[in-house]
Amino acid sequence: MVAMIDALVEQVFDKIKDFRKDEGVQITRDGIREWAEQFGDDAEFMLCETDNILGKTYLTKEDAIALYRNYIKEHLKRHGYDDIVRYLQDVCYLRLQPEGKSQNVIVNMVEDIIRTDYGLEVKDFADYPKKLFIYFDDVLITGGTLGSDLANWINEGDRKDDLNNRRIKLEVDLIVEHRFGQNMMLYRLEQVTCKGLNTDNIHIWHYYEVENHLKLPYGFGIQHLNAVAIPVKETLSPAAIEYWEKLSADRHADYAFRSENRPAEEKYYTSAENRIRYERILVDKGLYIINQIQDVKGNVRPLGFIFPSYKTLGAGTLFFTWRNVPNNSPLVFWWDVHGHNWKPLFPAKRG
Amino acid sequence: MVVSKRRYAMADVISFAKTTARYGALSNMAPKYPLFVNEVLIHSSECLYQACKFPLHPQIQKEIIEQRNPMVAKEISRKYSKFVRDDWDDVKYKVMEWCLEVKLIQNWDTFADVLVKTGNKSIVEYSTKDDTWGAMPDGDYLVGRNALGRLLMQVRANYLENRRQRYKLLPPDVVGFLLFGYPIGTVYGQEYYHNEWL
Repeated sequence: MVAMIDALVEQVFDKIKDFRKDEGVQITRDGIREWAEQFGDDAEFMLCETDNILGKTYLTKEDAIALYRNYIKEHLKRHGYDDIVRYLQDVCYLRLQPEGKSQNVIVNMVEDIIRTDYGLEVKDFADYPKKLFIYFDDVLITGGTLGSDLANWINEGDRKDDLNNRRIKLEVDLIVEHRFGQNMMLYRLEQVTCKGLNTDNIHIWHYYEVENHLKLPYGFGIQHLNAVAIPVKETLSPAAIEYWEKLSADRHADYAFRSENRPAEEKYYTSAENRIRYERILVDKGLYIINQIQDVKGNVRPLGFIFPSYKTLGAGTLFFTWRNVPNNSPLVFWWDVHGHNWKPLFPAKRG
Repeated sequence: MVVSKRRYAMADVISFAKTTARYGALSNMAPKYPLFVNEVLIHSSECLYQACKFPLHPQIQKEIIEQRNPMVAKEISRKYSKFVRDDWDDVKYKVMEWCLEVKLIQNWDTFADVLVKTGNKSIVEYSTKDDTWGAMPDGDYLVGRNALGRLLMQVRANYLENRRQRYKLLPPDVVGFLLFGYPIGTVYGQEYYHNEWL
């Protein structure tokens, strides 16, 4: 068993060793082992399943550079540009998020690739009148950040008519998109924050989609419910069910749990049985963490942050990148509070 | 619902046909009245109504709902006429009334205004082909069952008497009322989504 755990620690280490390396965070084998040991008898199981998940939905910096290198080529084709100069004259990579957030990191990465591969500086094209605006981000989970950024950009710049009449194009380019959040974000844009906007003219591109909308068909027959933890109610501990029942939230309770026969075929976790076991442990250990918090805010849930009005156990996202473990992912992965008896797999940046 | 034929004097009614005309918003084809049912964005009440014909065929529903253009959505629906639910003729008016109610509560700030502007006049869908949902010209009159116009008048009477926005709407009493294989649940008014992210 020790040998097996050592081997799994090595595999996990190999996958996530670049996590925030540039910013001084150090992932260590000992740290991974200590994280796993917190699950007691389930340590080996948790390492094994987590290793499988990270193999599918952890994006290294190297992966991201390759992704955006290919993206630039594809982007030119998608918009009918023969050469990069004409493209750069028309394109504007938006920087709407505060410094240090994912958007700026991605734009810097794209600009670096253009500098290296094409010998051009994006800033040299800043004065051209722009027609194609790109909003980059790594993850869309609830749609909250994206929705408000876009609404502000459209409303403050008085761009609704330009978009509706296709005088300008707006594209949202994401590494990962969660389908429920995308639907909610688009409806709110049309009906609440940008009334009258035709969202058909906002093109959303994603590298990876999380099929977490429980009432949408995905390719029919199989909904993968990939890269997300949505537990089966009947398999949870009584404490977890009691916690959920007592939540003072009233929206989307029908998205809190999946039925045991969904997905029809398990393609993301190692097996349907392991999925049930893993999700149950994430919930129980998340509750163990929550029980250590003195003043629990309404958005804190075992499976990750979610709006306080949502009656769910959390967003449950399982997509991670070299610089972002979303706080919408289960607490066990990232909760790192001094004085709390929990060590996360992904340590917080200190100092 | 039994709908008898009626004769409306053109000069006395609010009639609508083209979506770009003054009362075009009354048409199910009118753009800019998005709906949100089962947390799915649907571009018009026409798309929703057509999708409701095929509760056991989510693929057809998907094809319809993905259409921004409601005319095209209707054509797709026609293409699959043999898959329409068996009891459609018995439930279609009930479903249409629900679709109109959804349109109203989710577009209160715009659609309610249009209904108010019709005053107490009869609302008639002008049609040259369909005297069931609309009414056809006959001299100075429009003649037909005008089911859509009559349902619009019903919705107007139900909701606008007290001028209060409805917060939520239960699904109609129709067996097997499904969207993409899932029962259609409570639909919430536009106001509800202002607080969605709190």
